[in-house]
Amino acid sequence: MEQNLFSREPLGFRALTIALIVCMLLMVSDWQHPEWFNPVRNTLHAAYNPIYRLANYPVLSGQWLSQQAKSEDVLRRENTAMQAELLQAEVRLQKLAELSAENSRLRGLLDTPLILDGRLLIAEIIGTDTNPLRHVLVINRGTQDDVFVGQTILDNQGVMGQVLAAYPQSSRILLLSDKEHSASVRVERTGMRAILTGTGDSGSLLLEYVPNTADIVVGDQLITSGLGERFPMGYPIGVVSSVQQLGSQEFADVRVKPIARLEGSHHVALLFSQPLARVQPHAQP
Amino acid sequence: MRSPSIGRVLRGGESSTVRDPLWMIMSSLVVASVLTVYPVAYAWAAWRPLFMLLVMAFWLVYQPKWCGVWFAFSVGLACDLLLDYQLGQHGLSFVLIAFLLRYLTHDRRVLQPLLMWAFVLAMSFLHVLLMFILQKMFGAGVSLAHWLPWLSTALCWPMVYGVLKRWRA
Repeated sequence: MEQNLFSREPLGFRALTIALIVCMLLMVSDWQHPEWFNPVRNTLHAAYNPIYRLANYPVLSGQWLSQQAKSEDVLRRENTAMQAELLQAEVRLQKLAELSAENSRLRGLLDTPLILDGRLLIAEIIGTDTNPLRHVLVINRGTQDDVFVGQTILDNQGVMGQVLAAYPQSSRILLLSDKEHSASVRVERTGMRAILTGTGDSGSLLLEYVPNTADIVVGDQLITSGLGERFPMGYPIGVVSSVQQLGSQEFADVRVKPIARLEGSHHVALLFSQPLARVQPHAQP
Repeated sequence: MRSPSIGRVLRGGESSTVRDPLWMIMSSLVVASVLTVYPVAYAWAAWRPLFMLLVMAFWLVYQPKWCGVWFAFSVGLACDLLLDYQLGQHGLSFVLIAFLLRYLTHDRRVLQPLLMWAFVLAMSFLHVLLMFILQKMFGAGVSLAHWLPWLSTALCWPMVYGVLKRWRA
């Protein structure tokens, strides 16, 4: 079928100009005052929820099929419940290992009212960001489940990242490996504090501001320090994978491999627990 | 000489009233949105074609009565919200692309698919370039992987065209 001559007229300049001006106004106002658009964004994100679900449907149905193959309904439910329990237990176990070490260090010195454990909420990853430079995931829990911005995300191995934006039924989470993400950490062996920053590569993070003379070796485990007012302290976050001490520079180039499976996890845990600085308000000046 | 073209115009008019493309436009946009947010591994995410751009370009050129500048604008805004970009980034790019595409194709009686492919190639490059500039302006990090969707988008056009060509005006 051929195209006829008269239908495809060029677009009018007036409409073009108006549309371009509207776009630019939107961009600048969204840049300067993102909060103006929050109601619109929230509503539309709720409207987009079916799209995220639809996009996730093959993943879900694949899981369903594999479970169906295992056996009948009861076993399936049991299995799902046990998987969730296992994740919870594993997350608690990470905390416990650190707590016992912490305990032996502090015993007798401090009467610290440290948090033991927070509540956990299991969420499912239902989308990824299309921009490969932004390590952002979408999960199926939102403000209706009390998710808040800055909340810690864990998988069964360690810290994955934090909540970037919370919508009524979904949230976006920023992974450790995102270039714009940093976390305050501590070396478990020596107690040295440092800042762990993403590089955009999900297998390698950068430990910043580590002096050349610092006592740090490959294999050192890093845990969250709780000082950045974001992550609660004591959760494993990474393992030092390479240390390069260049004489020409003030700081060593320390690379860290994240412990959590940033690329592979399908379920994540949202932690309801406060960072150290908020748990111990008296510790602040 | 006149009768075939008039006949074609009439046929074109009839077919567009008989086969209402509105539902097809809506459902193609929904499918494109799903493909845009479909979870894939990071290694592959960089290659994800810009499906919304392809679908928008198709309807803009092949259903010109239905889709104009405000169509491009709305699809762009939907993209911004879907991908959590600064509002208006995709809108700006899509509106410009809509204008250029319509300008480049309006005087052609017969639009060769190969020529249209070349236009799509140029337009997706323009989109990637505009996004690059806007991202830089708003201070977001951009690397080499930013340019990869250009290639996959251009390669995907024949597929999108093949699926949707039944609904041309």
